[in-house]
Amino acid sequence: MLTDPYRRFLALAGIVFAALVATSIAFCVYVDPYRMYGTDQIPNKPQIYAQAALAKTYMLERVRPDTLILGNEAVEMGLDPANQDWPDVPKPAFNAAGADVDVFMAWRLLQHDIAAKPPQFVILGLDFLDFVKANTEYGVEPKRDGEARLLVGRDGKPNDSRSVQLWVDFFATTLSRQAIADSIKTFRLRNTSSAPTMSEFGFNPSHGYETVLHASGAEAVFSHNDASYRAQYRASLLSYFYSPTRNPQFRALANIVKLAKENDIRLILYIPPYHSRYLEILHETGFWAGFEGWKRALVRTVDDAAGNRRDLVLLYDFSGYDDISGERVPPPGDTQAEMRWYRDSTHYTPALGSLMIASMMAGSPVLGQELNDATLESDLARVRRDRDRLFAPLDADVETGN
Amino acid sequence: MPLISLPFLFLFLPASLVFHFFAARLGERLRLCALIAISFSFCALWDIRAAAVLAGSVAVNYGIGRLLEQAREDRRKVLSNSFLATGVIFNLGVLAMFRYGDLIATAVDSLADTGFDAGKILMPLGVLVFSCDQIAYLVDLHRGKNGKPDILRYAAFVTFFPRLIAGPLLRYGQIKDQWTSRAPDAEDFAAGLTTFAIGLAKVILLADLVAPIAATVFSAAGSAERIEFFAGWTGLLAFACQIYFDLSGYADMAIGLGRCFGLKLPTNFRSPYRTTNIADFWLTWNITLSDFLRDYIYRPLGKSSHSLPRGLSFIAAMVLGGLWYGTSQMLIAWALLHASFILFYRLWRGARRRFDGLSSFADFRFVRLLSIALTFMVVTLSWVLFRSPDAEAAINMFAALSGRNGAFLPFDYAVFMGPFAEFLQAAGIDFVPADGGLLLRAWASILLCLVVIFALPNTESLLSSYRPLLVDNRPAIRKIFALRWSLSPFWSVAIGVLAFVCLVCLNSVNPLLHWRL
Repeated sequence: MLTDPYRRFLALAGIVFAALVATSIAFCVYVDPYRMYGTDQIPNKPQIYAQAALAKTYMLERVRPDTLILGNEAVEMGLDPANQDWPDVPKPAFNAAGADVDVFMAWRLLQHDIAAKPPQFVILGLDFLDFVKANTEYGVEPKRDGEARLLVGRDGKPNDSRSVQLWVDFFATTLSRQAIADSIKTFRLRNTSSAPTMSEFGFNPSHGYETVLHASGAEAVFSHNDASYRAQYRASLLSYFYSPTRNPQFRALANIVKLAKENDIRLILYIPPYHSRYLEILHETGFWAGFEGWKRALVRTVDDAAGNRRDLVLLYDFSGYDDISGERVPPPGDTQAEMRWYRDSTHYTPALGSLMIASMMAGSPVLGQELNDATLESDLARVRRDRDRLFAPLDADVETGN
Repeated sequence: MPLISLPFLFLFLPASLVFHFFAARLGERLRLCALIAISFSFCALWDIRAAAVLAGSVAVNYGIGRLLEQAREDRRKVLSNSFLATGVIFNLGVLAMFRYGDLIATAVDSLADTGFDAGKILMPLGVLVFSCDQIAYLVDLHRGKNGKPDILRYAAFVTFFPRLIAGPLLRYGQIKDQWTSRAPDAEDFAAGLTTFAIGLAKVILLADLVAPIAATVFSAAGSAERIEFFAGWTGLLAFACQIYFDLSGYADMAIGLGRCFGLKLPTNFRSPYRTTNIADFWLTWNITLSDFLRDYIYRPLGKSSHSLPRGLSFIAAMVLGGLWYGTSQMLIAWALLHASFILFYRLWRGARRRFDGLSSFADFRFVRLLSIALTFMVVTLSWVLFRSPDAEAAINMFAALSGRNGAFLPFDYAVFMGPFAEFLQAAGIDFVPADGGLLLRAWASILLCLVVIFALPNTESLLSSYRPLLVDNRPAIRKIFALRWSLSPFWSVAIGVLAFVCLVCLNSVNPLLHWRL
């Protein structure tokens, strides 16, 4: 027993502090709001998107998937690795796509995954806007958030600064105000099935999106997001991609193809099934020629990087004017009608994602077109033709004054 | 290495305390060596070049000090004066080069178009603190006050790392009797860690609570956005709280760490917002800086045989006080405004003395409260100049505060206010669609800070029974709650909880002011 009152004071304060620290760590690890520790006592993780990039990096390392899915938020919400309709995709499959995953980050995540265990399949969703917005000046790509926690550096060598980042992540996920608040909220909502969450294989069921759709209706969501896409294109410079290597996104794409070649990985790249309203934004903002130039540059980049292993790489084009991309958007104010294929002009539903996977994996294209040197120009012509056919009756109406 | 960081709190600090504890038990010399090594490590972890500048400055000043002392003992006054002048010029040169180099380079560049990038100038950690300390040391030596310190005692005094970020300034005379072989005991750690935890809480829990509010409003003012009345006052009051908790928090942390290393440092803030006049505000705000300006700028300039007029030396001291906080021209304007406040107050005090009625009137409790409110308001308004990046932003803020840009409240409030809303509308306040919750949270945060400022005792009063710092003879400030720290289990638990809360809030620390000093 301590008799000195000062020592007693220090001891009690220290015990209280240590007890609180231990409790906080134990509670946050038990609840695991960001799926960092894999404790999985509580399957629903409504706060996981507060630390989405961190969560996915650690999940990826734990799952060590045979099929790795990469791309932006549309891919994250559109391709569900647990979907029973998917054909023979090597399992486990993990969706590492996310809002900040452009082609550069996809390359870095693929490096990370290969360092843990090389996958058999990689599926990468490409987005035209990422390439348009990329800085086309040569130079070193600035350090991205989350790179420090990857297993390897850009040169493929082990990442020396990772051990520090692991401690930083540990403190951020167990001893921070946000982690404690998120753990409490996760614990409180543990039985709420409609809370936003992330599946154990990285899929985003987008419950939050559903809530917005039912509150304001699909047309409001489409209009709001279309306005944002339009503004982004108008703020960007027109690029015809004559020289793809000037664009860091293409350089990253070439790196991905080379990694696939070196590790004997089947790589499937795809151009997403944009809704026809999005394609019309490209026409309206003068980016259509750039869009076609981008497809040509993709084919050229893949051919150059794959070399004699072109058989490992498939490039699919799901963009175009057809019944699916032309799905009717419910009128303004209609908050009940649900769309089968789309959530907005660029975000597609898992149902459409399943169709795309079936087309790409099963080799029986019910949707889209494989792009290569031989099919490229005919595919571009097909899309132009489909558009002309779609708008021809309207043009005729305009001419006849109806 | 920032004081508020996990590596400092959980690696550097515990290792330093253990190292110092055992070194102190082995004797005074080893204790001094340990303190110097710890301080230089702290600087070097920040920037190795900063440690080199500090070492160079200590060596040169110590050498000049020895020569000065020798000349003084030999009664060679001219030589002694020359050494003093050399030392002061050297320290001012270091300050000009490192602390105000960007200001000077920008001014030169605007005149001569040198193309020099002012951003490349290194700003060593604590250059302001250690330069001012050493000027004071040389002047005191010249006055025959400091005796003959050896190099270890001198270096330990100048480099003591907790003070380097934001003070308090220290005079050698205040610390020379504290160099003993006594290792810090449990009392030192209990009082020191409590003071440190309170300082940490001021910065992390209070200053950073209101910092984003102030940053948002002043950033909008800087971008020439039209700011309305309530937003302007919310931002300004938030900044008044932020700067007080930031500066006094860092001072408490330094004092607390000092005590953990067995040293008592002087107090630096004594409830300045609870003073009844502007002169008392300056006696309780950044006290060691005010004392330095008085003893080494104002009095020497105003009382020497070649003295400046007192008013001019006072203004010079105030301007230098403004430049303590940064290199912006707005800080000079802020200092001049405070100088004019003090001159006006002196006139008022002179008038009050001539009329007995006025003096007794000032003793009424209501008048006293009114004086506190008026002083707080005047000081708060002056922060507009301190915080604004340029004159346009300050004018924009003053326009908002005067109501010239209109006054708006969120539409939700009108529903709760009922008929009172109509009264407000008649008074010119409009209700607009806006996030009412955001404004309410901002006001709640400011209110919490104001309660801590006006109703709770300051750190010095709270720990007065245990004297964690050097005390002086200034009167204590009255407080509403006579809260006292003690060794009771309640305080043990409270300090443990406070330290934990600070830890979990550490990740969201706002770096706005911390390194501007």
